[in-house]
Amino acid sequence: MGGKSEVPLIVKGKRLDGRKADELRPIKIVAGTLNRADGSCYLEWGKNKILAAVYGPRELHPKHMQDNTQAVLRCRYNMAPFSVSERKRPGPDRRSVEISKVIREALERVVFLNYFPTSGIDVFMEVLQADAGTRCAALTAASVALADAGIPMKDMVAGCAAGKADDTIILDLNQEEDNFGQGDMPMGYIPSRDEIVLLQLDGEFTKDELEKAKTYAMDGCRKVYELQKEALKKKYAISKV
Amino acid sequence: MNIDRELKRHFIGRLIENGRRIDGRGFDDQRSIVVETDLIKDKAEGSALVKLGNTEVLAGIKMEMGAPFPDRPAEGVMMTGAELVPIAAPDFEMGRPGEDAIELARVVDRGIRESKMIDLSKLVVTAGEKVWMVYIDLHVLNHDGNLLDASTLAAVAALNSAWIPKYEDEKVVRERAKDLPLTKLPVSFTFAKVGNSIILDPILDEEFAMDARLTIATTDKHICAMQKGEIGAFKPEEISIMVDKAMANYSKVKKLLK
Amino acid sequence: MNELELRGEIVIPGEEIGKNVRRGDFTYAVGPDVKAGVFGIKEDKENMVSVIPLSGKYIPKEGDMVVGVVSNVNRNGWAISINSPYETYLAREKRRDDDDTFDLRRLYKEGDIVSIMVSSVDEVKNSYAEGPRKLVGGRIAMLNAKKIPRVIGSKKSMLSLLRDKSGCRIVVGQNGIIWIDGPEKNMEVVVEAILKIGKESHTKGLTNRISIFVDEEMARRGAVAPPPLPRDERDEGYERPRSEGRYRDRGSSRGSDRPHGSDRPRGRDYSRDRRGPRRDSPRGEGQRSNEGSGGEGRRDESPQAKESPQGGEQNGNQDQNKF
Repeated sequence: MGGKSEVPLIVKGKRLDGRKADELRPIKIVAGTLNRADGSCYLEWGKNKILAAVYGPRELHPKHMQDNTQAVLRCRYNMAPFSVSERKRPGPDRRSVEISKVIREALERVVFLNYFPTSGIDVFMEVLQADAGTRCAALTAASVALADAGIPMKDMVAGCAAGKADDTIILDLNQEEDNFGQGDMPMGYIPSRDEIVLLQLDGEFTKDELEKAKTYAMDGCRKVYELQKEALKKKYAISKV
Repeated sequence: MNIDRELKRHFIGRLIENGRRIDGRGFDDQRSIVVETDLIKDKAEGSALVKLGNTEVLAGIKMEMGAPFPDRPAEGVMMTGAELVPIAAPDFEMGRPGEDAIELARVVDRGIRESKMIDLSKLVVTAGEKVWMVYIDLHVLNHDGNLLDASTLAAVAALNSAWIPKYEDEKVVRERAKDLPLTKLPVSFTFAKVGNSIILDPILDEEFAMDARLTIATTDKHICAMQKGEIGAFKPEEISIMVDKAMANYSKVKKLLK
Repeated sequence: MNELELRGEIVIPGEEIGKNVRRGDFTYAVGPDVKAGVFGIKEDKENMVSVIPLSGKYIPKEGDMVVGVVSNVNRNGWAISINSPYETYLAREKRRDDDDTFDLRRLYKEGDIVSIMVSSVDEVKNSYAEGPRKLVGGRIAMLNAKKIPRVIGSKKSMLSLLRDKSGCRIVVGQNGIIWIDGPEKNMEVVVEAILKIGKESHTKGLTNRISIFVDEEMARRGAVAPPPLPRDERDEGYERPRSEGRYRDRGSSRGSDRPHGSDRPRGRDYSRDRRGPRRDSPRGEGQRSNEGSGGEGRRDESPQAKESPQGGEQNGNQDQNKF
């Protein structure tokens, strides 16, 4: 990430993959795809493929981790070794640990943890194929999986990133734009409450650029939220017998 | 304590004693098998998702350049890993692979390696220095019994549709240069012994009740790997019967691998 | 061609489901707006709006009969795992003539399947249970606990039809674990029916469809319902055919609208095989009459009710036992 890239990322208002500056990649969300997990969600976002699963509330071990006043929410973001161009060694790396943390903090805002004292609620996100924006996609999938599990929550959180490439603010960076662009800002947002619960940034943005990126990302999150809703409702859609 | 196991193992045993399985299958029937290749086509050099009943395993192939083993300078390298990631079952924990994950990876590896499925001699770029490393990574997505067969099939299907990247100017260029050089396609069959009965392809509930299991990897002519697991025992005659059944079923499953 | 119809509107957490109305289970308020607090079906009754969750783990509630597995035995009792984040505990009844070397495993050991009634639950969901019965033989069906009301049906309609048509004994645990006993083929049909109920629990006309399904499946297998055994009324004992998802405030329902009433003797020692003769131990009445009055009905007060968790809204629920 640095100054303008050698290869232009935006030509005549169109990005390399044909999108306009404020366009999302195609997204597909399916709720309830795994039969052993209490809740689950499979999500495709551009070339990203994410599978999220929720187990809980369930007994939390070891006992010293239990909280007598509320459930403990644990999140694990993990990438499969074959999910990226150069094979990634299995196991958590520092980046995965950080992502797990910021996702957990976003979700803790909405889950009614105090209804399940001493228990644990585990959220697992597996990235099967990665193409930038995986943390937002994982957060989006995790929210759906939590709802699918019947966990009481205030609302779902939608994730979406905005960024900068060729001095232009763009929505939902893909891998090339993330690698060669000038900035990336992942966001987790709850549209009905107008609350930002995940926010990170790396790159170089002026104040105005930042405002624009923020607006783009929030708009993106709103669109993503509608897709989350649709995925859940579709699970119980009635078809003719 | 696994409550699922405790609730189910008694009556599963009884059902089997009476000649019935919980999902109505015959003792020699496998569950339905679905093989989907190239799910990870944008990042992996080969991939396959296998659904064996509700058991789901995703195998991904990554090709990297590396040094050969010192005692085999004219051969490429094949390595198999497995992760029992926590999404797949309530009792799968985060952390380093335990003995189950390691056994799974090694048994799948054995079936593929001993059948000489990949012609490793064709993966040499510079003998003694640079060879292709074939990484087979198994990602278990949903555990409903018989991870071994689902994983072997996923790995074989992924390899069957995998390609070797270009190697230009000392760099791996992730574009298809050619197919992975393959000779045979091994298939594995896992049998469970419950009481005195032997059943093929145990579903998870049946694994709760099983005393012993035997996995047999075979090609059309040869048995190339076997692994007995669990704390029960087999009679010698039972082994022969299972081997026969495995070989008899080989072509049926091989048809799923295009 | 039948068209399956939804029993009600599917709502997602955060969806607005009412304004200026009374709030029922699984809802929370933001100002005058009532919002859904879980993924479920919206229920609008008598000017109160609530949500019936479509899935979720079982949380022990007083008065529930549950089916579980003994997970741990110590000198004072048995811990019983009930497919919940919370185990329940059966304390041993100490009698004067008890000698401390009595090994409780002689009554129930680890791995035994029992039905038991949850008698008290505290704020951190520790619970005690009583009235154990060992369930031997038969088989188990498991279903999400939220679907159990559909297995029982209004006025036990669904459960009765399953029992009558199959001739099987069926013990329904409120925690989603169901024990069935009878001829092998008949049990198979019951299990299939229960799984079908689980898949279609959100639709209308389920009782009729299941009735037809059971008839067809019994016929297909050549299964016949055996002549009914003398009803083991303890199977009925603790079943409350609760209306879907609603848990009545115990303070206002002291046993009078509980279908099994308060005159049924309880507290017997059920720790014997079902085939044995009924042993009338005379501890009945006295024990159970406390049921309704364990303190205004134990209001399962969420620590939440007193303060808003994050932000300014209430999600404790004044008139209902919440979540």
